[in-house]
Amino acid sequence: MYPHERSLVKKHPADQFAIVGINSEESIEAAREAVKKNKLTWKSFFDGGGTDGPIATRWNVSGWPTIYLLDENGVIRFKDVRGDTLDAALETLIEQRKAAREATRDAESKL
Amino acid sequence: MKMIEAHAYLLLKVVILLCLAPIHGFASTVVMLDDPATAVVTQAQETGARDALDKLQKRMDEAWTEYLAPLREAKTAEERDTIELDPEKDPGVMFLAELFKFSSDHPGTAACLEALSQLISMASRDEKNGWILEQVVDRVILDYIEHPDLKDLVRFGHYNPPSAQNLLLLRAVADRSPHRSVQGSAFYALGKLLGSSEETRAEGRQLLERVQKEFADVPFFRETTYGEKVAGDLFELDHLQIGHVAPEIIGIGIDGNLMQLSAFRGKVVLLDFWGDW
Repeated sequence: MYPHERSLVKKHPADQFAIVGINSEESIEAAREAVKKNKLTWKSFFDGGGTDGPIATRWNVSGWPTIYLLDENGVIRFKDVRGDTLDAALETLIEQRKAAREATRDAESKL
Repeated sequence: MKMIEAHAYLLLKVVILLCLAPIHGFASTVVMLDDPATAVVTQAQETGARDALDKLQKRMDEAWTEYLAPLREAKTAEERDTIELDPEKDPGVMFLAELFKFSSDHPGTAACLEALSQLISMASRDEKNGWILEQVVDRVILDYIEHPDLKDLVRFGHYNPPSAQNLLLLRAVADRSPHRSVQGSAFYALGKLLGSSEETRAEGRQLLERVQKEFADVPFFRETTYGEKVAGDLFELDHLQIGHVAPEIIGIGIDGNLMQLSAFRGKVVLLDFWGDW
């Protein structure tokens, strides 16, 4: 998963796309170590230590990794997509974001 | 003419019974034909089945260890991502026929129930094995519907796909098991499976609510009860479906700084629950 995620961060500009992690390591030291070891450049919440932290519990997560894709309005658009399906889903959302912005710009220029 | 037919039928039945008698013992054969659920299984049959399953299980475990060795031996995540396992050598596929034969050879034993449980997840992986799944489900319902160990079989039933056979099995157990804890497990797995697709979501939600009302104290796994499980599942059904605005997350980042999910609005976000294990 990490190499795939790193390639996504490289592919899509930072003003269009972000990875947000929620980490369930036992301690914050272990979480920091995992970030360093796997060369992760994106931010993660630390879920208080362990797999039964408050965020994972609220989001009813029972398997790791669990993936959600949100559009630019924070709406859940895809759940648990992986590999090529994840790439395609992301492409769709980024295209939609671009199209929505262009439509807004066009509308504004007509005013 | 009718008399002769009736006699012929009786004669045929006696012949069948006599043929079966040396294998199972006459008395138990008669009971089995009338009511499979109460078939008498001797201690020797139980022990024989247990030994045979232990041996088969050991071979399956070894095959899994060998099959997954490349993943275990990979040193980095990069290396692990490039490994492709040969689906033809997947032990879940290779042992399907043998385990199915085992279950047919040892009907009514506790070991057979364990085998049937494994067969359900193995046969659920590929639609072309639907006919095996059908027979396995029939056997569970006919021979084990009142068995207390059925809980182990249905507890993780929601990890199998919502195929017609899997739903049929869970409905049967939910309706007919005399054990409250088995029943609760079946209602839960059924609610989860139905809740996972849009067309049946409403029914799934109703079943999960029923679990919350009637089976909240029943243990699910380790320390967790169904009451605790279901609270999370209902939240997921109501707030974490495709089309819902993601609930806000505010917390401390690994870097020690305060962070907030909604601060990422305007960007497409991949939310990743992760752990390095």
